[in-house]
Amino acid sequence: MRLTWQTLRDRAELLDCLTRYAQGVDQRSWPLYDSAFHESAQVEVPGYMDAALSFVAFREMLASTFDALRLSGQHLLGNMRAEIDGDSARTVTEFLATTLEQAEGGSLREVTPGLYIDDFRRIDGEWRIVRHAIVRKAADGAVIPFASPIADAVRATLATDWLAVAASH
Amino acid sequence: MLQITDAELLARAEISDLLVRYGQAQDQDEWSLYEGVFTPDATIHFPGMPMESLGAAEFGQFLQDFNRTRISGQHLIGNTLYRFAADGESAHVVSEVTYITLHPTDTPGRVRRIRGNGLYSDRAVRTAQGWRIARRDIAQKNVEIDEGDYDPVLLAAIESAATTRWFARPGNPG
Repeated sequence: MRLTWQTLRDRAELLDCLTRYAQGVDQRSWPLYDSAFHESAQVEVPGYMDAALSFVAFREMLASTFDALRLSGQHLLGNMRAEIDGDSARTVTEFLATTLEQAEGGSLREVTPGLYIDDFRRIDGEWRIVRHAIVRKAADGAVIPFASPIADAVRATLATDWLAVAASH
Repeated sequence: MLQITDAELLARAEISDLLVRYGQAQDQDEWSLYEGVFTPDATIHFPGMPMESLGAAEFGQFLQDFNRTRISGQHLIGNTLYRFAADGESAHVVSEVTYITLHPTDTPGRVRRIRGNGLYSDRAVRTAQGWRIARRDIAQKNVEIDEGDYDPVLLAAIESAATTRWFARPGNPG
């Protein structure tokens, strides 16, 4: 397929949307997370949630259920395939998530490769997610020893607004 | 100072599409994506591995056969470096890859995991049909194989997702 500049621009905007979602979740920057979604957007996690949630309810679940024990998280995005049809688009994107949470005897490290399947709409010239599905390909957890200086450093990064830091440099 | 031209930027995007099509073909088991990744006479090499070099079609069949032994898989590609020939008609493209595949065992709920890191070294060429890979070397950097127990609900969700045609899924509700 011969690519056009318009397709590249659309893809860049779709990827930016997914990146805002991932960094919003990982850096617990909820305005960034919210900026990825259309106001009616739904989130599905088959095998984990019985029914789709609004992106707001999903955010509240993340913030309330996980944050008491959470140390850090990284959802690394790669291999994005996009089909764009006018003002609608679907992307299928591989992710690799590594999360740490406090556990007895150290830290619970969970490594989860999976796919994000996203439906987008372009409204008023801006792409936003209207449906976000998360499917897992594996999920492996292990409690690992976690030396205190490293744990302190990891915790310190959680309270940092990295985009604000970058803007101040 | 490196200055990337508009033409090279488009070429990089088209070559990147080949890498994504290859990865998603095997990971989502969508073999129509594999077509058009390689030139018809492309060869795939496995340096240091006890495996003969294969043609593109043979390698595609090998991957499809391998998929029949697995539950799910992911090949996450990153850090792609492009070096174009002076005439812009070919390029050497090197990418890192991290991968995992899950396989069933004789024990229900117990899976075998193959996890590793590697590298794709590709020679891409511009053809009348667009960019294609004419040679791929697949290098292994690390391989770990072990087993683990999976919750039946999680395993069922993984199996279901692995056989879903995501682009064929109906409707954008927005």
